[in-house]
Amino acid sequence: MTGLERRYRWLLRAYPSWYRRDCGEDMLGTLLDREPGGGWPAPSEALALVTGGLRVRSSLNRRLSMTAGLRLAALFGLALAATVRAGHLLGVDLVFVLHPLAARCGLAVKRAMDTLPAPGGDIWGEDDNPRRYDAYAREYPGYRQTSRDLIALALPSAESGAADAAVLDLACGTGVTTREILPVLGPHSQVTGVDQSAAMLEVAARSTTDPRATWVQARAENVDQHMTGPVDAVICNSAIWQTNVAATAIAVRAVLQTRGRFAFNVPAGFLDDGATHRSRDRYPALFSEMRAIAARDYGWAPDNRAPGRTRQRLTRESIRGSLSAAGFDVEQVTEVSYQASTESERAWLSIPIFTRDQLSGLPYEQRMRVLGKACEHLGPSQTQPQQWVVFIARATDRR
Amino acid sequence: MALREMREPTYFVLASLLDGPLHGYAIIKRAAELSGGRVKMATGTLYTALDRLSSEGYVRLVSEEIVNGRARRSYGLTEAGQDVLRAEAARMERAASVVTSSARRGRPAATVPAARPA
Repeated sequence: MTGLERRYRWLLRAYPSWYRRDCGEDMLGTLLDREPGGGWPAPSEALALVTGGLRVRSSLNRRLSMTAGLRLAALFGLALAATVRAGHLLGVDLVFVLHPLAARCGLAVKRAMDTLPAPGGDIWGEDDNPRRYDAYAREYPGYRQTSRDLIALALPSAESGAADAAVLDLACGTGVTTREILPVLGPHSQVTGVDQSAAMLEVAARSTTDPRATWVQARAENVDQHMTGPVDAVICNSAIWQTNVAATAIAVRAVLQTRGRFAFNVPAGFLDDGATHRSRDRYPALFSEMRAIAARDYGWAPDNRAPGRTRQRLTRESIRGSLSAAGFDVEQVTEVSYQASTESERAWLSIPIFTRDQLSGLPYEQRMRVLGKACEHLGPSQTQPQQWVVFIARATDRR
Repeated sequence: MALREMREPTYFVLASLLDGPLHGYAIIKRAAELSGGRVKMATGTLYTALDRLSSEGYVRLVSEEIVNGRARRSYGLTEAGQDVLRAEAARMERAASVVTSSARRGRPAATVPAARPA
């Protein structure tokens, strides 16, 4: 290993371990291709690596300029690059002299970044979402059924008797799935509910008093940095598409025992692979009707200046690829159909977050009046069976 | 389809993949060539852009091979990536035509006298 490679490897530590495992070697190859005979990292490269790493750690890899995190990252990177360059001019390998100090600085920066709110803030914590979400899940059985189906596939042994196991409920929200997992596990089991929304976790902790449940605030992509031990199964109900699936798969593999199962589901309409009807809306006809009513009754118009939320393009194959790359064998990809009543669909859409983007700028009360009129106008025929695609993957020795 | 103006490095990263998939270093070189040397991306910046473009569905990982004992990945343009690149090229063409069509008509460009030094 050359001195240059050693120094670049050190700088790549700015990126989280899951990211380095995924593409660290590829990045290192590119860095070394650029400077085949070099002995020292170019300051611009060093700065870009440090800021890039901190962006990934804070999930700020979007067009978010001048945020507190990036300013902090840029300052840290500039200081590091300048110090390394100064050392170069003096003929001293300051990278290693400064290693303990820089590591402490890096840790301090990471801790500071961890305290920053999630990109876009905790949108689940707004508008009474957690309470309404939890109330919906308790009142209507459909959501709990999706949880139970995933549990049966991820923990088949639990059905024949209450076995002890450690289970991770990823993106657990208000703990709906955790509450379904606990009864099928033995008395010495442990269920860890992880979610990035503090407000959702607060409701989860309040409503689930079972001592076998613990709650952790973390993003799914970083879950491996927040778990204290390996788990036997990971379940992620109705949420995986809100995360970076490739990064989440790597983090999940890092916390899962070999042969352990990772079970999750995606609405078929969210997959762009042609096997299903492609739709950006879960209820295209209903939302279209709602927008027309909002325009007619309230003069509502879409706010084209509002930044659209970008969503990763997912297909069955891309998800299979992410799982395989992370060290999973895909055991099952099956389509499941759930029939929901009109009343249940209306109650689901009464959770503020689900109409917030569709009718941006319109107050909640008005959105609900619009929803009521749209449901009446369309009648029960707008209720269609909801198709979901369930993925079951098993962790292998391959990493 | 992107409605926002695309930044120049992003444009040239996407343009570098028009002729087929490339690995990281080749993207950096090609983007520099295509931009006449204006876009000189650092490696960390390139991978940040690739992550973002992948999550937006414009770029995808095409292959991974082992070169000199190290994984080397190639990235390619998706159909959505081609669409957004063409849309941006058309937008710039329209913007450029505002100036070039004015010049063709022989209208002199309005100029502002240079500030006099104090």
